[in-house]
Amino acid sequence: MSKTEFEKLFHSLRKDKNRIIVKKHAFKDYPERGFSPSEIVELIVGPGRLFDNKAATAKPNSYVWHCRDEDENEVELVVLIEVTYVPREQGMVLVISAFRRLKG
Amino acid sequence: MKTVIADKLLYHTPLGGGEFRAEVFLSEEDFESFQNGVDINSLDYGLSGSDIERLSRSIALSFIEKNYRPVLFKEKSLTSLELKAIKEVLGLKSNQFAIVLGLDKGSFSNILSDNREMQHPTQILVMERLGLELSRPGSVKAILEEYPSELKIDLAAKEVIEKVRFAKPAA
Repeated sequence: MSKTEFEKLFHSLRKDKNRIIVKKHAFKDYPERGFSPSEIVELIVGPGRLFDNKAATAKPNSYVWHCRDEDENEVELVVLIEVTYVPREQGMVLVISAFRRLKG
Repeated sequence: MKTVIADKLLYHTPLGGGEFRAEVFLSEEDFESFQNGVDINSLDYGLSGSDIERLSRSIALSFIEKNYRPVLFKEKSLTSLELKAIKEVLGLKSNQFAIVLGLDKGSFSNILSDNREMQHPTQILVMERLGLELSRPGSVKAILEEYPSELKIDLAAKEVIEKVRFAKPAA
């Protein structure tokens, strides 16, 4: 899937909270980052921009959703789209990792 | 990706937690491990946005059942972590929550960052707002929609007061 196709599908899927899946790794493995599953969902629904995932260990076809939290800290969420079985054949946005860059 | 129903999913928020029944999403690898009897809580499962909301609300409900009276009779004080979790359940941003509680944004931000203690009547109001939201979802946002007109009156009043205060005395 090209980035343009991914972007188009991502923006249509992220409107629906049922289609956003937050993986345990994103909210539980790094408690010091202070993410809760609900906050991650709200950040995906809210404003942001998609970038290529340039990390050395990046999963294929994953992108980074850059956005800002309520305190204006930069947040990076690694997202994938998985097409699953009927009735959810349209796909789901999978948030696999979350990182917060604190101000100052 | 596969979905399974997990009967004993551990889920916690600052308001409490416990074991819940929920639909979880697993990778093919994790699905196989689950089929072989591996505990769901040790796998990298995924939760959908709607299930996250449902679990948070159910935890908030038991929180209010357990803590309403202790807060009312000053036996318990709400912490900033609990307040943040309640804000998430209500689905409000900090400035919106501040309006709903009748506080200004600065005071509310100080409470959230533990620089200021929350007054007892405000704590009761927080519990009231949470109870209202849980019994009638969307009620708190409805209060917020009603608010701007009052806010406009407040701002207009402020403007008049400032004009009077800083006006040049009549000759």
